[in-house]
Amino acid sequence: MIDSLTVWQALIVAYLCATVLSALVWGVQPYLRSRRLQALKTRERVRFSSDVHTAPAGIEHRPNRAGYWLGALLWALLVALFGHSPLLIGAATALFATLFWRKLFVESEFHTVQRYAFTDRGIWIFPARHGLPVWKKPHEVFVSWRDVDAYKIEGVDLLLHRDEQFVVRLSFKPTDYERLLGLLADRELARMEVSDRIWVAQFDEHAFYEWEEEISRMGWNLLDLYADEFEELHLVPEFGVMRNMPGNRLLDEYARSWLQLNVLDIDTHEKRLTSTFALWHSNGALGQFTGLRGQELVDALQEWFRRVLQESAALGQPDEEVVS
Amino acid sequence: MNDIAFWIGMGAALLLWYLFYGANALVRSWLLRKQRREQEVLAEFEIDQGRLPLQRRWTGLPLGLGLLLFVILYVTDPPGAFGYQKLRFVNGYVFANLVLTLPLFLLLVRTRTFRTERVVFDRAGVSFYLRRSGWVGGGTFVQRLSWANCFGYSVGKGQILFALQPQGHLEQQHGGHRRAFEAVLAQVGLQKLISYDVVYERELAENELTELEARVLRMAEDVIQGYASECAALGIRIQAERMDATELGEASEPFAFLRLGLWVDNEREHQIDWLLWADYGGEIEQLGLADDRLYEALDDRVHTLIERRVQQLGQPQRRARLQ
Repeated sequence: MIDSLTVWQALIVAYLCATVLSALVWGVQPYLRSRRLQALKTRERVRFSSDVHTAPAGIEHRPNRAGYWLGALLWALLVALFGHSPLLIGAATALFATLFWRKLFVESEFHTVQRYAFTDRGIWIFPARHGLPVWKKPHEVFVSWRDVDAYKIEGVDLLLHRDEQFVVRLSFKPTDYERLLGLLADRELARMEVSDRIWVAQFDEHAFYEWEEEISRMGWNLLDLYADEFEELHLVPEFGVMRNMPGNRLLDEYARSWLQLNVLDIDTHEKRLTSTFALWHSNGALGQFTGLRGQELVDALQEWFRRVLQESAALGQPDEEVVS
Repeated sequence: MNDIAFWIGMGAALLLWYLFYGANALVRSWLLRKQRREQEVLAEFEIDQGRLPLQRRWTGLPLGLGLLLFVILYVTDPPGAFGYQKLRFVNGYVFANLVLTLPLFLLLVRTRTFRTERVVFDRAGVSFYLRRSGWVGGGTFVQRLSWANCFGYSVGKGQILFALQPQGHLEQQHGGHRRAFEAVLAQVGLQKLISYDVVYERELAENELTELEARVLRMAEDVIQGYASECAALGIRIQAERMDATELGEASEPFAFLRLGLWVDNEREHQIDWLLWADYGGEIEQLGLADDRLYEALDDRVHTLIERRVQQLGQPQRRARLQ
C-alpha cells in the first residue's frame, strides 16, 4: 500500500519537476526577451523595433505527433516493467515529460521569431532561439553604428558591412522595407549598390505608382533650379517616368520603369540627348529596385541632371539643318 | 520453448524497433491517404533521392534503451526483487537488439520511404512527403505549399523553384519529371516567371530541342499568316527562319535562334532575333514558354516589325509636308 502510494507520489513529483524544469529552460525565454527590451528602452533611445519570422513564409509544416504516442507507449512499457520501483518510474516520467514539454516549447511561435531594435547607439538583435535552452548562445547581439559603414539589401536581408567586410545579416519583414530604408538613410550609412535586389512578390506595385508620381513631381521641381542653365544652352528639358510595360504588368519578366530626361532644342524641339535613371527592373523572380530615398534621392537626381547638362553643353550646337 | 519471456522480450524489441523506424512508412501512407481522401489529387510523383549513408545516431536509440535496461537490471536492481520472468524478458530484448537491429537497418535503407520523396499535387496546393531517414518522432513528414502562398515558378538545373508570397523560394527536385510537373502547374494556373529554363543536358528528352525549334517556327508561321493583309497593304514580307551559331560564322557555344526578318523588295530592312536555346557546356538554356505565351510573344515581335515599317513609311511623308 505504502509502496504504490510512493510510486504515485514519485510520478506526480517527477511530472511537476519536469514541468518546472522545462518551463525554466525553454518557457521563460519570451519573458526574458521582453525584460531585456524594456531595459533597453529605458537605457537607450529606440528608433524602431520590429520582429520577423525566420521560418520561410508560406510553407506549412505539419507538426509531427508520432513522437508523443511513441513516448507514451515507452513510458507505459517502463511502468509495466519497473512498476515496483518509485525511483525508476519517477526518472522515466521526468524524462518523458521533459521531452514532451520541450517539443511543445520548441514548436511555439516565439522560438522562430527574431526581434531587433534600432537605437541611437546601434542595432540590437535578439536572434530566434530555435528551441535552444536558456544558457546556450547569446540572447542579444549588439552591433554599434561605429562598426558598420555600408549596407546592401538582398531580398529580406539587410547586410551590414565595414570596410567592404561583411559584419552582420539582419532579416526583416517585407512590410518594414521602406521604414528601414528611411532609418538607414538617416544614419548616413553608404549604400553599396544603388539598387536593392528584392523578391518580385515583395514589390508593392500600388505604392510604387504613387512613388513614381511623387518622384516625377520632385524631378520637375529640381529641374526648375537648372532652368536658366538650360536656357543659356538653348535647350529645354523633357522629363518623366517611363515604363516598357503597362502598369498592371510591372512584375512581369523584363518589365522596367525608369526616369527619362530628354534634352530638346528650344526652337525646333528636336531631341538632342536622352538619359535614363533606372527605378525598377524585374527578371520575373527577382527585381532591382532603386533603394534611394529622401535626401539621397535628391542628391542622386541633382547629380544626374548636372551630368546631363555637362554632356549637352559638350555636344554644342548642331549643324545647320538644310531644308530644301 | 518454455522460455516464453525471452521470446516476448525479443518480440518487444522488434516491435519497438518497428515503432521507432519502420512506422515511418505507416505514418507517411496514412497522411497520404488522408490527403487523397480530403483533396482532389491531380498528380503524384515519386522522386528517388538515392542512398544515404547509415548514421550511427539512427541505430542508437533502441539499442541504447536496451543497454540502459540491462545496466539497470544487473547493476542497480537488488537480486530477486525483479523476478526471473522479467529478467528473461530483458535478456531477450537486449539480445534481439544486438543481433537483429543491424540487418533490419540494412533493410530499412532500401525502402522507398527512406529513399524517395513523394510530391502530391492537388487543387489547393502541393504536399511534399519528405524522405524519412530518422526515427518516427523527429523531423517532419510533410511540407505543404498552398497555391495561395505561391507566386509562380521557374525551372532551374534539375529543380522547380516555387516563388513564395511574399518572399523567398522553395527549391524542389523534379527528378526527371520536369515536363509532367510543368503540365500540372499549368493545369492549376500557376504562372511561369522566367521564360528560359535552365536544364542539364541529361535531362533533355531526345529531339526536345528540335521539337522546340519546329514548334516555334510553326507558330511563327501562324502568327505571320494572321498579319497577311497588313503585310500585303504595306508591300512587305515577313519571314521566320531558324538560325544557329554555325550560320553566324563565329566560334562560340552552340545556340539557335529565331530570326524574324522584314523583307521589302528582296531586301531585308529589319530583323528581330530571339534566342531559342543555348548550350553552356552541359547546361542548356531553352525557351520554356507554353503555347499561349509563346503565341503572345511572337505576336508582339511581328507586330513590332510592322510598326517599325509603318513608322519608317510615316517619316518621309511628314518631311514632305514640311517642304
